[in-house]
Amino acid sequence: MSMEYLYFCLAAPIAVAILCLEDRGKQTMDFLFAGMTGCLLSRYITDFVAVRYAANAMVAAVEIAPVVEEGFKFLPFLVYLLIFKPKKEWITGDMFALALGFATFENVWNLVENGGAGIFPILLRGLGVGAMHVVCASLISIGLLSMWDSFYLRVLGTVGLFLTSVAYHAVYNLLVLSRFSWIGHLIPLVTMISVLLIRSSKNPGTDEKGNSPGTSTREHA
Amino acid sequence: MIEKIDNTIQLAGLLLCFALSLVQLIRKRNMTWELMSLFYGGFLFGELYWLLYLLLYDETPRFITPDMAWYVSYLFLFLALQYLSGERFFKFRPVYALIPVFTVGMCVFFMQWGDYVSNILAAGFMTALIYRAGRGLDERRKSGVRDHYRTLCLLTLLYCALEYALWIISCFWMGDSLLNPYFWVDLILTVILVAIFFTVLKLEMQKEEKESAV
Repeated sequence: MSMEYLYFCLAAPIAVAILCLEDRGKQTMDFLFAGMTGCLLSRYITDFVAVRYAANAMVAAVEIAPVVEEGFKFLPFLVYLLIFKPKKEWITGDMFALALGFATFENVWNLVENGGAGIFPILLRGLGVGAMHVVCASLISIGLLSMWDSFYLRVLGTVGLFLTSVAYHAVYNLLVLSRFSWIGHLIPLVTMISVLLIRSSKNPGTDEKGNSPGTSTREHA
Repeated sequence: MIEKIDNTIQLAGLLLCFALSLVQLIRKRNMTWELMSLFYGGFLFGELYWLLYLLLYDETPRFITPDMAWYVSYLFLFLALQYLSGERFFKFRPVYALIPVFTVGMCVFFMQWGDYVSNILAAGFMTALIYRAGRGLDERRKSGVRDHYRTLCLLTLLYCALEYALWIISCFWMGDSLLNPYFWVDLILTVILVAIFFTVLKLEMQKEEKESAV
């Protein structure tokens, strides 16, 4: 089965939903759609770069794919930030929808390409890929949220957070493609659970949204 | 073998600093520790990637993926210094023009061995970092203040100098033995990285004391 057929199968219902929905529901669907499209395009670009620099499959997966994939997840989001000037509280949800669209398409394509090796490996991979994309999305969105009010932090922080997510993704890919693939899948799962635990244990000095007083309003430009 | 041991020691130091920064971030939830966590996190991911690549494939990465993680750590250290200084983002003095002269010169020199993109990025981030640390020292010298921020600026300049020393050494010395000065300089760099954490910790404690006194 070609990748494009799979893309049409998965993305077509979302395209229909985009036409039918309004407001935030439509926006979430837009990002899911953008995530799946980004995943498809990132595969093309990764293959192109790999052929251009005569890289083998392993080098393409552990060195080229993380940069290209994170780039395709990040670019639509950057356009959204720069052009639509979204509300701060929307950023995390929108970035998550983008990451989930990306992860869903990647998981299904991997299953079609490599077949299933039993329920547990599939489940571990599904959770691992999902968690990895969500962790990378969280890193960018939560980081940006806290740096939002200062212009220089927002601009330079965006670049820095993007590159950090590339590095995290690269370490994940490196482990997943080795004989220690289970460690690779466990790292984002453990990271995600830790973040959830930290979020649930609120600091006494924070408000109901988890912001410490004055944290996001300090301006040093 | 020595390279793997050296990387493992540095990784352990970074992991410790990253974990401690995260603990501070959870406790205090302020921008300083967020930036410091990202600084150590970026360096840690770069180091982890490099070490895993060496262990799994017995060669070094071909593209600049781990370098990006290191560059991101320079960026976040620069942002942390800028945030802690509370000063204007950019202020020109003729002496600061010497910084890009040095970094661009070194960049052209390193281009004989490395790729262009990586060297240009490194030069850009190093220029920003040296400028911020140098300016911090300059401001402190003028005002005569000898606080922890001054120590942090000094450590940052030392960190930049050691990075350049490592790059220069790797151009001329090859070999996986203890005679290669690369590993010794890299060990000093690990110590500096740990020292930066404790200096920021002291700086933050000093700030808290001042705030509680007010």
